[in-house]
Amino acid sequence: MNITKIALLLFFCAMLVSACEKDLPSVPLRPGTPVLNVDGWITDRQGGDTIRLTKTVNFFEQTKAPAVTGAAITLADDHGNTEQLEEVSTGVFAIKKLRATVNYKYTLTVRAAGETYTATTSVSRLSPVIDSLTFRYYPEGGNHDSVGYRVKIWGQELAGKGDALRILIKRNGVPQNQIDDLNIYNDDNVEGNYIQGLEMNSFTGYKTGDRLTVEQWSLDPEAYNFWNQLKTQVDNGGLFAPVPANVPTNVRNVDPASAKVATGYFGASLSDILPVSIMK
Amino acid sequence: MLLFGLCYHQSFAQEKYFTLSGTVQDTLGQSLIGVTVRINPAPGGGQKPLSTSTDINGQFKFRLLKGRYNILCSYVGFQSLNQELIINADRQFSFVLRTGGTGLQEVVVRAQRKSSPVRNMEMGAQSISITTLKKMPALFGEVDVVRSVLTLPGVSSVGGGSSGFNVRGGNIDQNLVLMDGAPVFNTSHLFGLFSVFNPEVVQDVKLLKGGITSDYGGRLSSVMDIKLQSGNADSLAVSGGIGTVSARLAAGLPILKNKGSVFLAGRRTYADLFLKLSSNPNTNSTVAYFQDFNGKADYQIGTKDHISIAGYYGNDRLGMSKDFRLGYSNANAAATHVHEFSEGLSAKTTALFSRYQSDLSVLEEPQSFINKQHINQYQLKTDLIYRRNEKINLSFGLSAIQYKVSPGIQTPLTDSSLFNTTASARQSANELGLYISNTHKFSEKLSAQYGARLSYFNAIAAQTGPVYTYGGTAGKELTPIQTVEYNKGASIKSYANFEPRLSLRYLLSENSSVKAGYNRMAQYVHLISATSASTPFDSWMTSTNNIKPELADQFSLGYFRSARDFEVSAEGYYKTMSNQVDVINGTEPMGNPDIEKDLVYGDGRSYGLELYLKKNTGKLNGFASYTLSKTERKINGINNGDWYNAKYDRTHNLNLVAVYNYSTKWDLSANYVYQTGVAATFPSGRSEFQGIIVPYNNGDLRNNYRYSPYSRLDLAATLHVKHRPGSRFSSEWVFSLYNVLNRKNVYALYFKQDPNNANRTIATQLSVIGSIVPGVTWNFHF
Repeated sequence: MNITKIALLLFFCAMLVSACEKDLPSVPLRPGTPVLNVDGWITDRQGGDTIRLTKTVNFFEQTKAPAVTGAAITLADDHGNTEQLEEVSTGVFAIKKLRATVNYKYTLTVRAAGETYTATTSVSRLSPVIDSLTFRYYPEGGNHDSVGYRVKIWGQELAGKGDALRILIKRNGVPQNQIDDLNIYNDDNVEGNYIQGLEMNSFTGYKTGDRLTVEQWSLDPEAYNFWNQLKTQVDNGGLFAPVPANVPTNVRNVDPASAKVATGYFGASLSDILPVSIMK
Repeated sequence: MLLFGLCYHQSFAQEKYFTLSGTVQDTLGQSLIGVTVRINPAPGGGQKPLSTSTDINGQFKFRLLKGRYNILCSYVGFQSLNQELIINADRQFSFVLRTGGTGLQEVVVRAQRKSSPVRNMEMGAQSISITTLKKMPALFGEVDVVRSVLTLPGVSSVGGGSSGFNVRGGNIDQNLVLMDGAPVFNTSHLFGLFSVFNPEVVQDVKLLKGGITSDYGGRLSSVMDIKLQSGNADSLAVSGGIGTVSARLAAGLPILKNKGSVFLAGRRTYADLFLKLSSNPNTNSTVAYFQDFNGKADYQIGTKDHISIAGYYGNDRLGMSKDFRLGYSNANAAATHVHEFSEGLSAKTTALFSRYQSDLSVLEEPQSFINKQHINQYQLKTDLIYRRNEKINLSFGLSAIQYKVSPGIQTPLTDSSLFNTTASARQSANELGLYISNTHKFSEKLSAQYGARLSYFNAIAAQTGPVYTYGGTAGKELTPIQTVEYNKGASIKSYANFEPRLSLRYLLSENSSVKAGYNRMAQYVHLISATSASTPFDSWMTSTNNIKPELADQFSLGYFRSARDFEVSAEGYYKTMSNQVDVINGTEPMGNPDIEKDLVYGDGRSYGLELYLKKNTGKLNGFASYTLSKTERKINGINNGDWYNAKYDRTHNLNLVAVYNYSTKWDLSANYVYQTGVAATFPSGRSEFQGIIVPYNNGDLRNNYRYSPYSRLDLAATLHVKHRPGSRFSSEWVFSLYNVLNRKNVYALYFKQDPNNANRTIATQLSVIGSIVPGVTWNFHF
């Protein structure tokens, strides 16, 4: 699992030597050209998977990304099944028929504003096999800024390289989706080991009475790379920050010569929802 | 800081010791080793006569009371020199001996300072004496070689707290940093805020940015040659001090009937000693320090041989008891033998070892691990110097280096860690260098220094196993396209490079000259870094079948003029670099067993104009340097393969350093810096993914913006304390204010989602030194 703590450690070291940070509300930036952004994921759940199409906006525009409507979206797997997606609300397209199946490949084709884009992804198995969750309480003055419980996962990482996962925690039904809530891991340095109590990142500590739903999403290596780089880029900072770069996308214009490019990701996961825990 | 207001001008006749130091050279500017230097007080002077001989760098040093002296330099095959001197301050001289006869004749001292830049062959060369260095304002009052070098033309860095320095568009790993001849792989302490050179030890700093002679090789962009102190050949000398950051002590003494000397020095930060006094277990188990130790022994055998042994160890350690531990260290050791075969022919043979290592541990379970990396260099070299006449002044030599590298190994710290051991393949390689160089005086006006270096590099299998050749799309993770099994010790790949070097000097008049130069340099070791500023955990790697040697060609042209108290120079350069190494976006080098699959390669180019004005003498002295330059890179897989500004590209770079000798008690100094901000990558837009705002950059451009300009003013005042007459003891207080204008210079800007409002975006500015930093240092010597 990747060494996410190092950036924090190095930042801490920098703090020791009188570094100081301040927030700027805005910085003059040259306006960008809006491009299509695909925000889509297919899982093995019954219903609820959608593809959202938006356009990028200027960085400091402080508005919701505008939806792209009227696109024609087709989803196909590599076993001969296809589905025409229906736009259920502005820029939101529902996947109703197809479900993610392990080792299947899926291709999303988006026709919008005269251009055709495709995105291909595959479904990996769930690993580690999480057998239990524990919760550790961090009091005031503990290792975290925010007092409360943190989730630890326990389970066997399966033999064979290339496994990766995302852990998504819902607190009282609300997905915890701050930058510091992202939990993206692969098996690079833990291949085949029993994962004993790996603590999940969370922006805030969980409080007594919180109902926590822990979801495990399997990621193929490309999806892991997408999430891992997204996490790196949105959490960029400190003395030894990684070089800023665009998060990789798997959405490509079928005409490689076209100036119209896209961003975002279409991914596929098996998703396991672990039993709900109530913090005492 | 009220002390600034308390400057009484009082002059007392002080019985104080001053340092007389200098070099002895021949008319071609080559240092002479083993020259006998005698000091006789003028009639009526109270001090005994003293004598010493110049060291392997042609240098000597005395400690003298104020007064008049005669200095006598004598050397086999050269005319002796006899000169009267007045010592009323620390003085530095350069003496030139002419060939022929041993008869005692009076000759004129050509320059009462370091050899004149108008007449010598050096281009793109700058030196700073430790005396100047100690008077310049310093961060926290900690005198620092690397920070001072940043004031020189053609030198920049990526920012306040970054490791290393960039010379004429070169990366930080393209500087050959030599500590008395031994390479230093990482010059930084405390992540770059300070450097590894204890100011108590440094005698002289010389930076070669161009006109690099063929005796140097292995790095593309510069040579920073740092000469360290030797022990005094006549008496015990002790110096030391304590400052805001560290405490220092150095002692040198003669041994074996003044035929040899020993020098020992140490420096350590001491703030952590106070942490131990805390009753809080989290605080008193915190480790945070850096330290340096230097040792050197010199011995003169007869008149023909000189041997010296020197060593250095310095490290940083930082740790929080339950969370993490980290550290990094440099170590080197060298044994040198200089033998004079005959008049004009001498040989210098050095055996040396140099090592850099770093480690990082995370202690918290179940993620505990330790990551370690190191590079070891073993080197044997011989340099021969043959001076026949003004036309033939040859130096030639051979260097053999063996590298042993472990780019990274990550191991779990305990059984309950969930990590496996992950290791990059160890590296082993040999590098041979063969060079010849001649300084040739064609006429009074025209001189040339020409030569060449032949370098040969051989990557060797450090273990039995497969070696992969990678291929694929640049900028994406590469895949093995060929796999070959090698036995340990087998040759994997070899490279050879011919590196011609040429410098010409033409005297336009007695005090002005033009110089032109060409350098080709090759580099076989590379620092792999994935961050905007290099970290101590970045690994060095040798060239391999995948990583080709870096090459650079540099052309330079300069005009030099001296007038009474001033030296002026203007130099232009154009440099191209190939096989530059970078990493693909998102690479994590640490814990990555096959980093070679994540590398990208390309070219670099840099050109610029450097102006330098120096005033050496008078109550007000100092220098001004200005650089106008451009540095770009073109890497396959970055910025769509187009040219982009290098991170450390700063268009304008102005530095002003002034020292004002206000009185015998007070010296005041100021340092002003103005630089174009470094290049940086800013987004143009933003997208949303599952509710997270992600910065988006149309075209994925690299370094498409610049931070706002950097400027800083520092001030310092040195108080020379009065001691009782006749005392050898002298001391001084240095009060410094760093960043007097209290500027929050941008070190970095980060664009992100506002953690308090998911729909908003903000930019966060990081300033490394974002306030005025005072410093107090007390120095003494006797």
